[in-house]
Amino acid sequence: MRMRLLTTMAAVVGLTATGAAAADLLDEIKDRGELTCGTLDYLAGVGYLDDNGNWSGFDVDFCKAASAAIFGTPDKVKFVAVTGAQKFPVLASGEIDILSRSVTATISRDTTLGFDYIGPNMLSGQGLMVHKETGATDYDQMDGATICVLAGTVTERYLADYFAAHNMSFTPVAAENGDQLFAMYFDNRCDAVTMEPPYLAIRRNKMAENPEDHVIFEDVIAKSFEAPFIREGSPRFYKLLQWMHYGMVTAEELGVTKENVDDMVANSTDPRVQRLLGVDGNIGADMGVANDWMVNVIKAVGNYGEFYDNNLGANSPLQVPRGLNALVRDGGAMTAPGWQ
Amino acid sequence: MKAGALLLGASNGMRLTALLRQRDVQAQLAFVALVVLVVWGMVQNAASVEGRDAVQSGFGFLWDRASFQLGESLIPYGAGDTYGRAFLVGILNTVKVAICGIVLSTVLGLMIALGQLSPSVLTARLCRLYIEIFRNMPLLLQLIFWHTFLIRGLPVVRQALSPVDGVYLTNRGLFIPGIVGHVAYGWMALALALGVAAAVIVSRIARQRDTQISAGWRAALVLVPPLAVFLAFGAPLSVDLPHLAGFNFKGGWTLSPEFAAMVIGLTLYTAAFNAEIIRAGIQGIPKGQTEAALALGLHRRQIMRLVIIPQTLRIITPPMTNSYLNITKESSLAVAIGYPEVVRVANITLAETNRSIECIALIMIIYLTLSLIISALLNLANARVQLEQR
Amino acid sequence: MMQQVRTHPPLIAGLKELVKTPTAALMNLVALVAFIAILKPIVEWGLIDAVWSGTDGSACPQGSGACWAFIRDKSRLIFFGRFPLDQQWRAGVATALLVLLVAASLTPTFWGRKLGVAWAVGLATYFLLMAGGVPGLTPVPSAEWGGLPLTILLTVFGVGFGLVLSVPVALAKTSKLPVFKVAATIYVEAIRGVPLISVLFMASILLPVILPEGLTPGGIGRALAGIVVFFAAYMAEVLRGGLQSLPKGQYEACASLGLRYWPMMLKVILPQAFVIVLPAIVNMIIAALKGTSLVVIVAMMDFLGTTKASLADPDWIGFYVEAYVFAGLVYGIMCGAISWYGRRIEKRFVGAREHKN
Repeated sequence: MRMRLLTTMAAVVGLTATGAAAADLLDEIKDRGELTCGTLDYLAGVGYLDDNGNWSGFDVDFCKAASAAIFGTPDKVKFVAVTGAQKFPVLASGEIDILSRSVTATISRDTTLGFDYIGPNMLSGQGLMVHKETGATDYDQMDGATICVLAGTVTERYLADYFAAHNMSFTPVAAENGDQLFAMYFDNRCDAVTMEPPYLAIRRNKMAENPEDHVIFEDVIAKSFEAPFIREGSPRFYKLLQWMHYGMVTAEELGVTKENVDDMVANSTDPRVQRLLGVDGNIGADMGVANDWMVNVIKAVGNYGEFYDNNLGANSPLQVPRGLNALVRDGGAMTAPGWQ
Repeated sequence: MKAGALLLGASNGMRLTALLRQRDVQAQLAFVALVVLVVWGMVQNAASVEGRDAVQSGFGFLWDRASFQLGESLIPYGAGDTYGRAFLVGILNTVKVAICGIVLSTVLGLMIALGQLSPSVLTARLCRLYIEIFRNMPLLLQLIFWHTFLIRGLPVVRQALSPVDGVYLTNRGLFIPGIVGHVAYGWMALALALGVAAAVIVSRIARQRDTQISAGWRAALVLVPPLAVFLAFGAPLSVDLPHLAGFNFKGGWTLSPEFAAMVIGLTLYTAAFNAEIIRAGIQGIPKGQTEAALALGLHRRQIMRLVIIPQTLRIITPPMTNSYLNITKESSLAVAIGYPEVVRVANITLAETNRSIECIALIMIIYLTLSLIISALLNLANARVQLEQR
Repeated sequence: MMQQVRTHPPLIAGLKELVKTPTAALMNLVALVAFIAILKPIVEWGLIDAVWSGTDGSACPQGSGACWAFIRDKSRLIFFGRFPLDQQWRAGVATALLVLLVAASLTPTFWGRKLGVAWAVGLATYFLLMAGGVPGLTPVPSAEWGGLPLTILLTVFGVGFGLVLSVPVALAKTSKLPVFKVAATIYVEAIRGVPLISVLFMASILLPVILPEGLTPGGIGRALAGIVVFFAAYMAEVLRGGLQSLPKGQYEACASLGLRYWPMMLKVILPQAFVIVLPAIVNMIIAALKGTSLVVIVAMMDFLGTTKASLADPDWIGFYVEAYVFAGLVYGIMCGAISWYGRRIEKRFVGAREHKN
C-alpha cells in the first residue's frame, strides 16, 4: 500500500516535471484569469507601495497595462516583490509571467539566459554621482576612487569594464539594496555612487541635505536600456507585449491620451488612430485579445508620455526629465514601427 | 540484569527478524526509489526551466572571465580574472574574518568567564549582564548596527582622526603603516614552518629518551631559521606609510569598516557564548582537585598549569569546536553589509551567469569543507588534551 | 549540579560580601566605577536627554539624546510592517494566541489530547485572523504580513514543523537499517555544516527552479521551508541525544510487553525523550527567533526588515541607533523571556525526573 503511494507520488513529480506545457503563455494567462508580475517594492516612482498600500510606479504600471491589454481591466495582476538575485530564477521557473523590475537588457540575458525583453521601455545609461568636495567633474578624474555599487546588478559589471578599459582602478563598496547604497554614499563611505542618472537625481533630491553638494556626471559610461522580461518560447505573448509598448508610443505620437481616448474612438477620422484603437481593422482580434485592447491600455496607464510623466516625470514628485525617452520628434530616441 | 527477559526478547526477536527483515528491506528500497525519483524529477524540472546547456555545463563557468571588482582581497584580483579566482578571494576573506573572530572571541570569552568567577560580586554581575545582552540579540542586527555605526560615527577622510602620524581612522577604514611585501617573507614563512617542525620533532625524541629540551633551545630552533633567511636577503624591511592621495589614503594596510564590523560583531556575540562554555569548564572541576594539589605542595601557578587548565581544556574543547564552527558559518552574514566573502561572490556570480544551482552548491560545498577542516583540526587538538591528562 | 544556586543574602550580608577580602573590595570598586562609567552616558542618552514626542526629525536636534519620538512615530510600521493599518489588531491578537499556545505546549502537564484540540482551534483562529477573507474580516494577502507577527510566525512554525521533521530523522539516525541511517546522517551533517543563509538562499532561489510549477510555495512558505529544513537537522541531533539517554530498560520493557516499533516509539519512548530534550528545544526556539532575522536578506519584511525600512523615511533621517537599539531590546526581551520560561520548566520537570532516577 505504502509502496504504491510512493510510486504514485514519484510518478506525479516526474510527470509534472516533464510535462511542461508547450502552449503559448498568453492562452495560459487567459485561462488563469490573472497575470503574475515580478517587480520591486522600495523605489518610489518605479515600483513601490503607496501610502494606501497600492502597488504603484513605472514598472508596476507596465504590468497593469498588460492586464488591461489581455483582460480589459488593469487590476487582474498579482504583484510579487523579487530581489535582484531572485529575479531570473523566479522568471525562469514560471512563478511570474513578466519581470518588470528595471532590468537592463543585454545580449547575454536575451540569448544565453533564454529570455525575451520588451521595448526597451526606459532608455538610460549608467552614470555617477560624486561629492562636490572631491572636485571631480569627469570620469577620467576618478582613478583610485571608492565607488558604491548595488550588489548583483549590471552596474557593478559595467563599472569594472569601464575602469579596466581606461586603465584606472577603483574600490567597490557593495550594498544589498538601494536604501543602503545611498545611505552609504551620503555618509561619505564612498566618493561616488553609480546608477542610472534619473535614479541618482531622485535620491539626490530626496536624501541629500544640500542637493547642490553632489554632482551628477552628464555623460554615461554605459548604455542601460531597461525593459520588462519574459521567458522565451511564447511568441504570441511576446508580440502582444512588444506591440503594446509600441502602441503606447504611437498613441503619444498621434496625440491619443487617457483623457481623449473615448472621444478619439468615437470621432477620430485619422485612419492611423482608427487602426491603433481598433475602430478599423482586426489586428487585436488576430492577436488573441479584444480588438479595442489599446483603448483599454491607454485608459489604464495613458500613452507612453503619460505613463512616463505620471510616474517619473513632470507630473510626479520626482521630476525626472524625459531625456532619451522623449519622442524622436522632440529630440529623444523613443519611437515605434508603423501600426499598419 | 534480567537475563531471562533478555533471552526471551532475543529468541522472539530472531523469529520476528526473519519476517521483519523483508519489510525493512522493502521500506529501504522504497525510500531509495523515492529519493532517486524525486531527485530525477527535480533535475528534469531544473533542466526544463533553465533551458539549453545550463545544467549539463556544470562548473565550467568557473574558468570564465568575471567582470566585477571586489572591495578587498588577500591575493591580487581584478575584473578580468576568473570566477574561480573570485571564489578563492571570497574563501580567503571568509577565513580571514573567521580566524580573527575565533581568536578575539576566545580571548574576550575567557576574560568574561574569569570575571564571572572572580571574587568580586559586582564584576561577576557585570559580566553576566554582558552575556545576557549580547547573546540575546540577533547577530545580524548587531552586525548591521556596527557597520552603520562605523560609517556614520567615524569622521570622513578629510577629517581623519590621527592619534600618531601614519595612523588614520576614518569611516573608510583604519589606515596603518604596512610593511612592503618582499619575496624574502615567503621564504621566512617556510623557514618558520620548518623550524616549528624541527622543534616538535626534537622535543618528541627527547621525551622518548626521558630528557627535556629547555625552552631556550626550542625557541632558538623556531626563530633562528627565519631570522637567518631574513638576514640572507639583506634584511629587506621598508615601511609604507598611508598618505592622502586623491580620494583616499593610499599605502600601508587598511582595515575596512565592513571587515571591522564583522570582527567586532562576531567577537562580541560569540564571546558571550564562549564565556559560558569556559565558565562551565572551569566550574566543572571539583574543588577537591585544587585542595589535593595544595596538599601536595603545588604552587597556585602550578595548580593552574598542571591541574586546572588541562582538565578544563578537556571539557571545553568539544563545545568550543562547535562555537568555532558557528563563527565560520555565521561569517556568511557579511553579505548583508557588503564584505566580499563567499556568499557575496556567489551572489554576484549568480546575478551574472544565472547559474543558481551551481552557485548555491558552491556555497554549501565551501562551507562544508571549511567545517570539516576546522572539526578535523580541533579533533586533533581534542585528542591531544585527552591524551595529556593520562 | 556543580553550582549551588546563589542565595540572595539580606542587605547587610550583601554589603559584607562586597568587601570580603581586600582584592574583592578593590575589584568591586573598579567594577562599580566601570559600571557607572558605562551606565551614565547610556542613561543620559536614553532617558534624561531623550526626546519622547515629535512628528519629524526636527524634533530631535543634534546633541539631544535618544530620539524615541522616532520609534513612537514609526512603531506601527516597525511592529506590523505592511499589515493594513486598521486591521493590525488582528495580527496582534493572532500572534498573542500563537504565543500562548506555544507556552502551553512547552509544559508537559498539558501534553495530551486537549492540547491537540487547542492547537487545531487556535491555528484555525490564527489563520482566520491573519488572512481574513470571511465576512467582517477583509482579506490580507500573506505578502503583506510583516514585522513582529512575521518573526513570530516564522519562529513558531519553523520550530514546530522542524520538530515534526526531526522525529523521523532522529529515529532514522538511531535506526539499525543502513539506508535510513546513512540518509539521515548525510542530511544532518550536511545541514549542520552550512550556514542558515545558504539554506535560505536555496529555498528562495532554488525551490522555484527544481520544483514543478504550481508546487512552489510563495514567499513566506519558502522562507519557512528553509528554516524548517535547517533547524530540523539540529533538533534531530538533540532528539537523538534524548533517545540515547533513555535507559535501555525502557526498550526492553516494551519488547517484553510485545509492543511493536511504532507503538513503542510513539507511546513510550518519544514522550520521555521530549521531556528530556525540552531545555534544548527552548534553546532552539531562541536560536530560531534570532535566526529568522536572516530572512531580511531574502527580501522578507520581518521585524528586523521593518526596523530597517523605518530608517528610509525622508522625514526621519539618521536615527539608526535608536532603531537598532529598540529592535535589539525587543529581541532581547523576547529571548530573555523564553529562556526564563525554559529554566522554570526545566526546574519543574526535568529536574524532578532526574531526582527520581
